[in-house]
Amino acid sequence: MNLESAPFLRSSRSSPLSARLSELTLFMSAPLAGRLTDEQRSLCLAIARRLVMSVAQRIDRNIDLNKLWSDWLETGLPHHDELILACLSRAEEHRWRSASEYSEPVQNIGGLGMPDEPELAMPWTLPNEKLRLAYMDLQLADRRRFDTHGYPALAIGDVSEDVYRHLLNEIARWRLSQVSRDRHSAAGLGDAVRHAWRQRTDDESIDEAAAKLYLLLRDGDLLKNQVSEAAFRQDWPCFIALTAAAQEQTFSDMAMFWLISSDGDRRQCLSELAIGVEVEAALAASLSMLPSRIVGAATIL
Amino acid sequence: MTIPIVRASVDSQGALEVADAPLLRLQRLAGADLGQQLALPKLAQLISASLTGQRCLSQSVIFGDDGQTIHGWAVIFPRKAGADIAIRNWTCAAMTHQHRNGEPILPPSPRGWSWETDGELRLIALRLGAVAPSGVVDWAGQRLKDVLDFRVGDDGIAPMDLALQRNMSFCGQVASLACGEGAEHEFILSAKPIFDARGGFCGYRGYAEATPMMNIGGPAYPHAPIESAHISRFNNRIDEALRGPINRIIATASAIAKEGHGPMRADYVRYASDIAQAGQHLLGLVDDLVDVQNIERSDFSVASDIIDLGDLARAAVSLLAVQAEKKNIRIFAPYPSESAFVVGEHRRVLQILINLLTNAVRYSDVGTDIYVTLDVGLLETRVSVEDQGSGVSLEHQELIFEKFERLGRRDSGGTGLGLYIARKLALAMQGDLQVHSVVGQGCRFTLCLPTHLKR
Repeated sequence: MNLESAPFLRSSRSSPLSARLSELTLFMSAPLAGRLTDEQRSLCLAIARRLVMSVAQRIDRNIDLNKLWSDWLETGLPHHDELILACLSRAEEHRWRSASEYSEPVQNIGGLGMPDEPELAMPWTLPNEKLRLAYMDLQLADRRRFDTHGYPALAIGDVSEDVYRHLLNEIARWRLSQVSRDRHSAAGLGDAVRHAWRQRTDDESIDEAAAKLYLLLRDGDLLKNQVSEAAFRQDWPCFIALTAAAQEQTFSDMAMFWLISSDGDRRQCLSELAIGVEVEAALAASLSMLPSRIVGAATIL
Repeated sequence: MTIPIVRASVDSQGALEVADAPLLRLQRLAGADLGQQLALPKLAQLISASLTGQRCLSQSVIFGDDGQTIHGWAVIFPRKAGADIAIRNWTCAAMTHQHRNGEPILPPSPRGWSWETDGELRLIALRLGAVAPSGVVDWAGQRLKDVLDFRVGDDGIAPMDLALQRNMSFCGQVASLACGEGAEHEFILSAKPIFDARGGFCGYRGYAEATPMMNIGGPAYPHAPIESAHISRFNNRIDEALRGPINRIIATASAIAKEGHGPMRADYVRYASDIAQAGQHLLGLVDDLVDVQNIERSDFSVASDIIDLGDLARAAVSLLAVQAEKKNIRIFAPYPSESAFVVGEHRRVLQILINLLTNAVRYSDVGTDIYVTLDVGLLETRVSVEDQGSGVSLEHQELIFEKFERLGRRDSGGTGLGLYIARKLALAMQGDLQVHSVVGQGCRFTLCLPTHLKR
């Protein structure tokens, strides 16, 4: 019997039972494949929500955000592969950073360049003002990826034009259904979307900030040291940013690469950057503390 | 529980060859066994790094075991066909997450902001709550002090400056934000320091809340006295209100004791040092006051460490020495050779003893003596604090351990919580706190704790 023809499913294709059966079908098709945990799902959804909220406010500051979100929770979020990947990458990066903050300070790894005495640790400083400003810009770009409470988010400047346009259109479509009886509002909606598109953001994206810092470090022959230092200090945003710029990848893609990488992937990538085994060990030790990590098939495109 | 050393070895492929029982148990809990790949990721990574580089590596390791965390110091010795593992101080503890940067402080209300600085206190994040008053326009990369005007305390020092000297958290820092035309918004800032994995200071992360009297919906109000605005907040958050002043006392006293401002008379240096030390203890007590509710909870528990009651008694006596000296009171501590090992929590036992000694000094007459004695029993060890004060009547002895009971005293010496907390703590450590007294002949408080039974 075809599941969809089951009598108890005919009445509603989107019933909770139907949704669970679909989920079960997917599970049955690959029982051994890892699944997202509830925490990962919640984080991804929350990140998507924060992005949708900030894009919606670009169209209309008085838009009913709760209504928009509850409608989309019912009907499903407008699908966009890149958006889903961005949410997952940001969520996993956040879990990694949180797990690092909950970990013990890094101790000596047998004289591999780590400090012997943790109490002697000094605040990290960069050798010149240009680098300091570039690093600060990177930090500013990174902190734009959090909401007021410090929860992870995606900055509008960090999502691709495709994703931004897609969300603008979908939110406008939803808004149109809300104001369709009000001709004046409906007419103004198009203008609002165009305005939001033009005013996308003046803020520097994390990729731009990363590229700027990378070039300065490379030109000053400091790249290898600073990448290593970022890893030892567990400054993962800086580490991801510099390696992303070195590999000509986006921050989001590079974060995903490190997060899903196997030992071999990491070793290969770091050796391309002429970075030693001690960094790999620090990285591996940190990633190994991350529960339910999605491992495997990491490639740099 | 701590095991001095747990040993194991792996082959060149990282499969576990032999292991002491605690490690083998974890391996099995993780679904693997002898002869299989080590299933403890952090240790496996360390071994892998050691085998790759053929170098001896050491690192602290933590394992999770459902209800508890296990940590120790792993040392990996690579050899030709594998590696030997030694994990020193294998310690099991109830599962608690220890945040490197402290527990996160409460998020701001919709009227507040969150903010973050780098190590040089330049703002790298500033996010407004939903109905927070705006006004900070050009903040990115600016020093916090260039954006906000920080108010100093009575001692002329801003709480944040004091906290910064020691990379500590702070709260209750009043700051104002100029809004043009002589008007300003006022905020109360609190923050925690952030450290990187090497322990380097990376900045502060915190929140700013509008002061209680500030009308968020209305315009910024003109300059006004601020003290009254914070009374209600300090009342509401007594722990926060106390912490700031105590931190200032400690910092100032420490600076004097270190003769940072120039040479001082030796006795003044000693006084300053005592003040700093007492301040440190007070900070601990603030925690206890805040935790009174916890003590009353049925699930309140204390650590079961093996402690030397003799050492603690001597430490408590030395803490109270200056106070006693002022009244020309002599305190006789147990001889340095006297030891009495009991099971209890170090900090809590010290807290009880200090409370007993403080009371004894406070209520003893000038020129009298106080005796601190040990009595080691097979199952129970007692430490007694005996004074030559006015004593406590039998009827009052029944009331003395009640909460907020001060037996009619109205002086500013105590809160009426000390003995209540002390007895609750003693009971929580499977011990007791008793009082024996005859009016006019002094008072003897006896703390009983389980004797540590040597195996």
